[in-house]
Order: sequence, then structure tokens, then C-alpha cells
Amino acid sequence: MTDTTDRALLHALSGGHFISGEQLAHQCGISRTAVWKRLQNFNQRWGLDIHSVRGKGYRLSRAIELLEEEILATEHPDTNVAPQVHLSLPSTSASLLEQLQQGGLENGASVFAEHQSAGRGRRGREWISPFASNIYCSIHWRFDCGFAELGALSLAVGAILCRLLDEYGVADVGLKWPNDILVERRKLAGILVDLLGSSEGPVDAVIGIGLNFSMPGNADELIDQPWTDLESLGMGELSRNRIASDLVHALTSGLPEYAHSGFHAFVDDWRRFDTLLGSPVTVVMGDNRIQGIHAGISTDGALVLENNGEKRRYYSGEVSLRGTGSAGDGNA
Amino acid sequence: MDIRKVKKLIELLEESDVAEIEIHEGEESVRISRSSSIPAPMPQQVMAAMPQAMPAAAPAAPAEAPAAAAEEPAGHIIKSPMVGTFYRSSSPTAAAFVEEGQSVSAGDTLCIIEAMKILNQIESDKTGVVKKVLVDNGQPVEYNEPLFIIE
Repeated sequence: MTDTTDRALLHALSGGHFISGEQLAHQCGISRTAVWKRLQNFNQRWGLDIHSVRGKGYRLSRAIELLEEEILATEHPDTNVAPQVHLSLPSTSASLLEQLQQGGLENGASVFAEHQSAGRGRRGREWISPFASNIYCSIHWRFDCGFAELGALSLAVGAILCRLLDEYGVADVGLKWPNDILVERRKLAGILVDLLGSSEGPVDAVIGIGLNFSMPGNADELIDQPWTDLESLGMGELSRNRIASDLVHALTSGLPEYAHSGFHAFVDDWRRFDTLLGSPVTVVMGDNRIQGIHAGISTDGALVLENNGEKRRYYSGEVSLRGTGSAGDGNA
Repeated sequence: MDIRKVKKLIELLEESDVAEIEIHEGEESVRISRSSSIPAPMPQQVMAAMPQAMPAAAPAAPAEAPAAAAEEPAGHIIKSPMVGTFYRSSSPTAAAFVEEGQSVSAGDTLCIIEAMKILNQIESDKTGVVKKVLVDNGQPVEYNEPLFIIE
């Protein structure tokens, strides 16, 4: 791994206390100048906030917990694919898609990154990915069926993630069609699925998840929609390694369930977490805006909109609650 | 069976979570199913519902025949396997996957159809030249709607 020295530096600084340049140099086996250069680099590339005080040394503005491949591997003795952890990637999903095209991936192969330089949202919107603050993860799964049967996969993943957050005790966690994860209408997590394959199958899915854990103070300047994170919801004591581990576990048990039973296995959970049921909403599709009452979802994951007593199903478009004007949307 | 009755049945089906209705009336019977929503027990069943990726009934004179209505030029037509939004590139700032006149190999990504937060990368099932892109970027597409003509 090329980032061993970077990792060693970050480990030394992770407590959020001052540590001298000399000590850092000694611990990491590099010169003091090299320490300074690397820390400059962390700041420029990853936006890491590092205080430097003459006579005291360097300090991160807040303590961080790095994700550890060793911990994730031991937590998953049942998985024959150990999660990969990178300090920084353009995007975890782009990384898996690339690996997929270069010659196949095992089912359940997953990638985590501490930082994404080009985190992907829907249609090119950026998923803001500050360093070691949140969870950015992508996982690969191969399905034998074709595209047609995978239409509701992203909703199923939303339900899987909601179940996990509910188990953690996150109060009022809910879903906005098709799969935004919200608490009190603020976005906590996003999911974006890439499918690659032929219409008849098999199809390779790369599922990207961004879960907000502890956003830095300047997050409001970066994110253009209402957001929240686990820390603000009183879950700051959770370990990022534990969340990462639980996430892999939830997906590697949930995805085979989808492969076997389809969305039927998830529709009840999805409905349980539906936040907009009965609300007046607008669905935006290209230049079209359709208003109606959110009447839930059909068994194939379509949004059901009721208008003048008539119910119609929608498979694409963005939902916003009428009167708020926010069609906020973004992903891992 | 009265066509209005069939229409009523379709409406009934649409309003419910029922996947299939079969009605027998004397000698006649009708079965209506929502193919898109049935998690088919047999893969073949789904395949039958998928576009067969067949060249459209080719008119004798190819190209240069701008018949305004129902224009169906010769060539291999790539149709949309789903309802969704058609995108020609991976992001608004990225270059289009393919342009008209470009050569493509079977397996190359032609476009993305987005539906329910799933980005479906649609591949060419034929090696050839992209003769025409039939849909504008960002437009909604229907199931089976022609997207590209490959020659």
C-alpha cells in the first residue's frame, strides 16, 4: 500500500492532541520537512483541518477514528471478500465499476474511502465527502436475473439501511421515494445503484452508500439541502468501524434475499419507513410536474400518486413535498 | 368479450396490488397480467417481455427518407428496456458515451437510463456505427422506445 506513511501520520494525529513535528517524524520514519509537506498535502487535497502552533506542534481540529481493514476483516470471518479501505478515492462506486471492467469481482466485494474527491450524486451532483467524517461505501453484487427484476433494488437497499439505523435506535428514521434516508426531512444517507449487464442477465450491481456520521463545521456551506448526521442525532458514540462493519453485514445478508425473493421481501419494511405517505407532493420528470397525494408504493417499487381519486404509478422523477420546494437529492 | 370490460379489468388491476387477473366467461377467457411487476419465476418469462432487439421491419430504401411521420429507418434499433430518464453521459459535465457516426462494439455503453435511483448502463448488443441517436438527453423514455440506430 502506498499510503502507509500517510496512515501512520494520521494515526499519530487521530487523537486530536498536539504532537510535535519531531515526534511525528520519528514515529513515521520520515524527516520533519516531509511531515510538514504531507500535512500541507492533507489539507489541500482532503480539506483536513490541521492546526500548527510553534513550540507545540501539530493537531487535528478534532479527533478522528480511521477505518481499519484489519478490524473490518476480522468482523467478517464469514465473508470471503475483505472490505478494502482507501484514504481517498475519486468515488467508491467508480472504483468498483473500474475493477469490475478489469476482470470481475467477487460477490460482496466492498470498498470504503475516508474521502472522495468526486463523490457521485444523481446526475452529476456531488456527494460532499469530507475526510473521516462519514461513511462512503460501495459494494458489488451479481444477480442472475435481468434489469427488469432489479427495478426496485435501490428501494430494497433503502429498506436495509433503514432497518440498521432503526436497530441503532435512530428515532424517526424514514424513507423518501425512491430511497432517500431522512430524519425529520433532513437527509441522513443516500444510495445510488449502478447496473451493468444485459437485459436478460446476469447483471452486476454496484451499490453506493453515503451515510453522514459527523459532518465538519463548515458542512452547511457545502451542502445545498437540509442534512443531518448520526452525531447530531445523539449517535456520536458509535464507532465508524462498527457502522462500516454492520453495513457490510446488512448488505451481504439482504442482497441474496433480493436475489431470491425480489422486492417482496422488502416492501413491508419500505412502507413502514415511508415518510411522505398521505402528503401532497409534486413529482418532477424532465419538464413535467405532476401534483398529487403520495399514496405509497406499489409492490414493484413504483410511486403511487393519487389525483382526483385516480391512482397512477411512477417509475422515474423526483418527489418533493409541496410547499417546501425542495427536491433535494444526492448520493454516495 | 366486450373491450370495455377488458379495459375496466385493466384499470382494476392497476388500482390494486394484484399482479394478474384471469376471467373465464363461457367459451372465452382473458388473462391480464402486469408483466413489469411480476417477479417472474422463470427467467424465460421475463425475456419474452423484453425487447427482442430485432431490426425493425426494414423499409426497402434505407437512409435519406425523411418521412415525417413514423420514421423507421433501416438498421439495428436499440430499444429502452425500461421506463426512465435517458442520459447520454455519465454526468452532465462528462462527454457523451457515443456520438452519431461513431463506431461501437457489442458491449460498449451507449447511454444510461435512470429510474428509481438506479443508473442502468445500456450496452450495444451489436458492433457497428451509431447512425442516429433518437432521444434527447434528459428526456423520459418509455419501455421499448427506440433509442439508437446502429448500422
